[in-house]
Parts: sequence; structure tokens; C-alpha cells
Amino acid sequence: MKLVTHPSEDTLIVRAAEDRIDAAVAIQFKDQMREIVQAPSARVILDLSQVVFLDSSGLGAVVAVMKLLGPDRRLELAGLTPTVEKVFRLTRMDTVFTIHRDAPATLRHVG
Amino acid sequence: MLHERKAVDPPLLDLSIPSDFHSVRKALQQTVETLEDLRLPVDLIASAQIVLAEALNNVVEHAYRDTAGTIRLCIFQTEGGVLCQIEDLGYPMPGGKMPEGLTVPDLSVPDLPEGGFGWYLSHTLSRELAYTRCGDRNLLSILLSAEQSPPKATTVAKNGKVPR
Repeated sequence: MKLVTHPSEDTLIVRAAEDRIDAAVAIQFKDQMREIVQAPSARVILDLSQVVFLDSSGLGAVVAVMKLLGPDRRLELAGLTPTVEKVFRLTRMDTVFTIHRDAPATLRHVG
Repeated sequence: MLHERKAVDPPLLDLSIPSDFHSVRKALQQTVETLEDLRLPVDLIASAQIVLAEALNNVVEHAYRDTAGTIRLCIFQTEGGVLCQIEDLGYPMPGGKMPEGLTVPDLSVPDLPEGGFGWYLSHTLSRELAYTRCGDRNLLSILLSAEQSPPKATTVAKNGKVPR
């Protein structure tokens, strides 16, 4: 699946350039993120503004990524679309992650 | 009883889905398109996609875990929402019952759970959820009500689409 990275000072921004993080790609997502987050950065922001749907497999994969970062690094989420936001809210996962309403500004100009 | 409900009108959707995650994805996309064309409430459509994703993925992962098969998805319109029926010829649910999923997985523990969310989402979003086995068929019935998610006067989805 397509993940676009943009390192920015002490923050690594990863934009999921996919419509869906679901059972079909959850393992791929986890594996790719495992590679990506090897780059050291205190914060990782996962831009989900293109993702219109995420199921429980996708949710589990996002949790797995957070656990991969370890206790000293933070995984933040940005740009949750309505159905994705609903899944995070119902499972109370919105209390676990810092969630930014908008996608990071630095990526808006990247094609 | 949910299973005995006879639909008077033809289904909105009647799909035969091969038992793999990509086919499930296509079926969900088709379902959303159909329900959007019918101008059903945006939130009801979101609930339908979430619950159907869990139910169909479960059939792929468990019922057809070591075989390939077909999953039948029928969706009927009801007075307050939609009735979805999922049929497959795979293994029965463990103990012949659905997992309860009545509580959301515990997030207060240091080692966060990566699973267990699916059934919780399904039970929470469905007005009624019922499983039965008939011979070698599994039948899962899902009733989704628009009342749980009241329609708004104007709803614009974040992607800019307004239901027609």
C-alpha cells in the first residue's frame, strides 16, 4: 500500500495514500510502518485524511504501530474522516491517541 | 424472530462474494454506493459498512478458514433502516453462538489490545443481531436502524459529498 513519508524536524509525518486500511491490507500496513518508523523521531503523525474506511483489522494495525514505537515516542493521528472517526470513538481509541482534526499543513503542498 | 422475517419487497442488494478480503472490500463499496443512491442517512450507511465489514471478514477468517467458498449478502429495506442477511457454508461459530462483544476491550492496560473490537462494534451499532445455523448453512441477520443515528437536515460528508 502507498505510504508517503515526510520527515520534519523531530516529527515524522506519514500520509496513508490509500482509501482504506482494512483486512485486505492491515498486515502490509503494519509491515511497512515497521520499516518507516525505524527512522528516529520523537513524534510520528499518521495522516489519515485520504482514508475513508478503516475496520477492526485496520484499527488493530494502528495500535500495533503505536506499540512498535515504544513508550518514549508518540503516535498521533490526523484528518480522520467520518466513518474512521466513528470507529475510533466507539472503541474509545480516541482517548488513546492524540487526534488532530486537520492533516498536517506541511503535506498540503506536496503533490 | 429476525431470521424468520420475510421480506415482501425484493432486496436492495443480493451479492455472491468470494471468500477473500479484496472481494469483501468490493462488496462493501458496492453496498455503500447502493445505499447512497437510495439517499439513506449518512450515519446509517457508515454503521452498515462497519458492521458488514466485521461480519464478512469473520466469514473469510473463520467460517472459510481452510476452504474457499461463497458468501451471500442480501440487504432489504425496512421501515426504520435496513436488514442485512449473510449466509455461508463454512464452519459454525464456536459453541454455535456469536461472541458476546458486549464490552469494549480494556484500554487501561499497559499492553493495549489489538483485537476484540469487531464484535463490540457490531453489537453496539446493530439494533438486532442474530446468528443461527440451519443444516450446513450459517445465517447472520443484522438489523440496522436509522433511529440510532438520526438523519441530519443537511449532511455534508468530509469528502464534500452531499447525499442527493
